[in-house]
Amino acid sequence: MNSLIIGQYVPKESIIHQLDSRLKISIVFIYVIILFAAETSLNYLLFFILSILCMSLTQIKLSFIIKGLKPVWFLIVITFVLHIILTREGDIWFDIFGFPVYKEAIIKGFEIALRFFLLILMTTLLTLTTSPIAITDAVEELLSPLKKVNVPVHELALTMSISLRFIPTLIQEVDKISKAQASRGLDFRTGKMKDRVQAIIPLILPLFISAFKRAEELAFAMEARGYRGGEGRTKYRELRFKNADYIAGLSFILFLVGFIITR
Amino acid sequence: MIEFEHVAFKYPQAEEEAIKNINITINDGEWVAILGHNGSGKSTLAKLTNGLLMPTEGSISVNGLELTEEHLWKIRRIVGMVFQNPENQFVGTTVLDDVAFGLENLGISRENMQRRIIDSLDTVGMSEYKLHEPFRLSGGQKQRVAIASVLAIMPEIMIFDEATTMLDPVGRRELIRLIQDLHKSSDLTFLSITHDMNEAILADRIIVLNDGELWFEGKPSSLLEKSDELEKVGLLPPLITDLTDKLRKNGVNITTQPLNYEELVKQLWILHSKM
Ligand SMILES: Nc1ncnc2c1ncn2[C@@H]1O[C@H](COP(=O)(O)OP(=O)(O)O)[C@@H](O)[C@H]1O
Ligand SMILES: [Mg+2]
Repeated sequence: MNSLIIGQYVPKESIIHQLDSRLKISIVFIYVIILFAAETSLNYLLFFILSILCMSLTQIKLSFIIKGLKPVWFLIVITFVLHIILTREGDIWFDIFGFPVYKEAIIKGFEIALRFFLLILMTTLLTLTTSPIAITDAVEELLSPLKKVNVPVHELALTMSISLRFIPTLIQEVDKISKAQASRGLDFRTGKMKDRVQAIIPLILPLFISAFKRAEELAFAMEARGYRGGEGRTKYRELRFKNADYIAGLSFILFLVGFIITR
Repeated sequence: MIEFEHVAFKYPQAEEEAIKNINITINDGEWVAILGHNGSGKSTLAKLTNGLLMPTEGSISVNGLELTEEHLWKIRRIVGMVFQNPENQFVGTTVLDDVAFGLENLGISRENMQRRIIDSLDTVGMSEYKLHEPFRLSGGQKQRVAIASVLAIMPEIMIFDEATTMLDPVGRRELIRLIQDLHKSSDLTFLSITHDMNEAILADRIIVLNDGELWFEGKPSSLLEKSDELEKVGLLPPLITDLTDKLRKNGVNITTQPLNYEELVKQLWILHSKM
């Protein structure tokens, strides 16, 4: 479970790490959308070069990324194979054990597998190089126009950051409760499915009770420190475009131009 | 200054009042300890002081401002509060973010914030941990951050609601030392809630609650005089009175109740020189 790196953050000081999180999210967002509009092989080449360039700039070891995406490799191969098996039209290229393989299928299969790979790689690079709290801040800023139509953007972002803050606490708690219950003879790792599900209840219930108590106390603590909603609040964390961000933004625009020309 | 006038409070579903007809005044710069057994109403009293709860009867005022919806946010700026559980009052993802939280709520400018955060973390000795996430801090360290978060808001009154109760003995001793130092070096008014007599006798004045009623109000030394009645309200006499009582029973004639070991030793020396 720990080997899958999707969604993990690896703190480093690379150029990519230091880019403004709003910029990174916007770039990845646009990248993903136009990836589905790619047609020519030159298009794909451009995408490939951009992704590899970003990846090498993150200072994260290539082997770490490749290993971390292991379960994804499997999915990519399956997609490719399924495509070859299921496509039944066009010119036959060659036979394997009397099974005809179509040229179209190979090309399409390869295209889709590549698309899938690039999509996963780029979004993974985003989370690998951007701390959860920076993503939260960026989401709050990028969605702030929605405040006008009464979407509680600030509240959502705060909820997100508090959840992030309490995840380690709750994991510790689960560990503590499961040890306490195990010492009373509770077994939820072996036995029939039904028994195991039933054994989970003494685990979940104390967790919920304590989480609600925490939430109540936290609400008091927040109020005592003057929290009264997003109105009139200033922000300590500041998102500001630096030179590197302008350069990265410009480079991405160049990429977009190149994409349109080669399409 | 905090003034409670005939204050009573009942939780919505409760049958009995948690606070019953309380009259107290706490003066500027004073350190008052509130003692009482579990469920005696200490936390309720604390929450009434900054409007986390509103009294069902009577009136409360802070620095002359009556506790009403209108003055609520002004009062919360004056009264800072540190709670019992270190984990459940840590809002930020890092120490810096947590101290910033209260300042953000008050709409303080970013430059100002940075200075205040550094200053208050310095005061509690946590500056070198400013980038740490909460799960990398001990309970005592989290409580220090909680104190820094309150100091950054620059309140005039600080309430500690059993801030030391959940700490290990070392963390607890260190936090008590910090609170003592803070009181000496500032003109803040302190309201410290505890069920530990040893902690309470550090204050200028002690208030003892029993089942929501005021049972005692006065100097620590006069509370120690009543040490044999303490058990009735679910409190243990502090080690110092315990020791003094035992000495007295064994024929050592100690006249005035000592507040700490230094005073006890002084009296023993006086007795010794008279012998
Ligand atoms: N949220 C609540 N709802 C109902 N009753 C409560 C609530 N909180 C506390 N009480 C009751 O009010 C009384 C005083 O509680 P509290 O002020 O927390 O005491 P202390 O802090 O001295 O331990 C207790 O009898 C307690 O059971
Ligand atoms: Mg309490």
